[in-house]
Order: sequence, then C-alpha cells, then structure tokens
Amino acid sequence: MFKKLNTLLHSQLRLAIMSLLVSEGKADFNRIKEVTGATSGNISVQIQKLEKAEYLTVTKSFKNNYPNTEVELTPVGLDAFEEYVKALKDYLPK
Amino acid sequence: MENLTTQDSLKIIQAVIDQRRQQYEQNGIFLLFWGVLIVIAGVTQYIMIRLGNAEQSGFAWLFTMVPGSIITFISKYIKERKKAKANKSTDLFGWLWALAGFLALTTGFLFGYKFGMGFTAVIYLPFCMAAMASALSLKNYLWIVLTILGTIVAYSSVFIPWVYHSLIASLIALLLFLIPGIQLFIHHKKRSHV
Repeated sequence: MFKKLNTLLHSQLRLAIMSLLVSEGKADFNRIKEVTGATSGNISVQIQKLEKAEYLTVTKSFKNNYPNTEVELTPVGLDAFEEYVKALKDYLPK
Repeated sequence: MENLTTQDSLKIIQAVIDQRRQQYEQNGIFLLFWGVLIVIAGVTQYIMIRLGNAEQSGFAWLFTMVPGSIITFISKYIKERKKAKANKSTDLFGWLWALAGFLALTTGFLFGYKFGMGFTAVIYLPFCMAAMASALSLKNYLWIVLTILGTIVAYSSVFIPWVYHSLIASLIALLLFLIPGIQLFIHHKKRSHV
C-alpha cells in the first residue's frame, strides 16, 4: 500500500522552499525569491504555513538598513522532508 | 550533461538530506566532546585538591581547556572555509558557542581571581545563554529544562564552598553539554538507521 504524502510539503512552492533549505540550511527572502521565481506575497504565505508546522524558523532583522528575513530549516522540517522523499520513493517502480 | 534516472535523482536528494543531517550530528559530537572534557577537568581538579595538590590543581583546566579550544577553533575554521567555498550560510550558533568559550577562557585565565566565589557563575553564564539559544532553536525541551537547571546550579555556586566548585563545574557541564550531546547523538543514530 502506498504511504500518504505529507500534504504540507506536497505543494510546488513549499517543496521548493524546503528543498532549498535542505540543501543550504538557511536562506534569506531574496534568495528564496530568486530560486523559486514566485511572488513575495505567495512566498510569505507559504513560509508562514511551514513555520506554523515548525519546519522552519523565521528571523527578521536589518541588513544595510533594509529589512531582511532569514529562514532556517529545523530538525523537524528535515525529518518531514526525508519522510516525504521516502514516501515518494514508494510510488516509483523499483 | 548526463541524463539521470528518477532513482538517481532520489539518491542525490537522499545524499543532500544525509549531508544536512550530519550537521546536527556534529552538534551532538561537539557537545559530547566538551561535556567529557569539562567533567574530566572538574573531577581531576577536585581529586587533586583532596590529595593536597590545590596549588597545581588549576593545571587540570589548563591542560584540557586550551587544547580543547584549539581543536574546536581549527575544526570550526576548516568547516567555515568549506562552507564559504560552497557559498553556504554561516553557522551563527557555532560562533555563539565559540564566543562563549573565548569569554570563559579569557575570564578564567586572565581575570579569574577577581570574581572570588562568583567565578564558576561568571564562567558559565555565557555557556548557559549559548545552550539556551541552541536548545530553543532546536526546540529540544529536555535541553531547555537542563539549561534552566544548569543556570540555577551556576548561580547557586556563589553560596557553595570553593572546594566543591570544580565538581559543580562538572555537574553544569553534564547538564548543559553531556546529556544533551548524548541525546542528540542517539537521536541521530536512530534516525539514520530507520
């Protein structure tokens, strides 16, 4: 029987954000925007959802007098991502 | 560019996940390393004091903390250089720990005599803060509770006779570093064998 896919991660933009964080550990808002090509509003909403699930932490600060939002992966997020990849493997022919 | 099969892609993704996970394991090893080092130094000093070698007992710290710091700074430097080459972000918590260690070393070896009974509390205060910041970021509740206990013990040391301070230092190291280090390491091992 197929494992259920994590619905929170089974969204293109949220998966892209999580993939970036798994690879880089943390990223600022501009980096996420650059990699995903999504709009700021959409990214903000998806980050909030992932933050609520404790998959990432958000730190707001100032960099060169401009607001800077930094997003960092948590161990919970890494576990969820790994589980998602494992579940996905089951759907592929062996 | 070579064509990857889906299975190859998944293998690459798994390798990236393992690489990220390794970072958490290193945190565990780093805590274990310092936990064991401080417990050894504290217990050694206490035994030396009890055996009548109080004057030389400080060497227990000198011969453990200085090499420990050198090893930590070198490994941190190598790690950061690799990260810079790979254009990865800097590990802020790692530097927070390094700063706490630097403060403890300079306070302990240069100005230690000025603090009297408050010496242990002053030395451990930056470590308590670094431990709390790391525990909160990992949302590790056991570590949070142990850090609160460690902070209480550190402050209580002001009212405890000086002869027991090396043992108190070991106890705080046990609470702040060793137990969370063991927990992180075991947790990582379990996860990597799923």
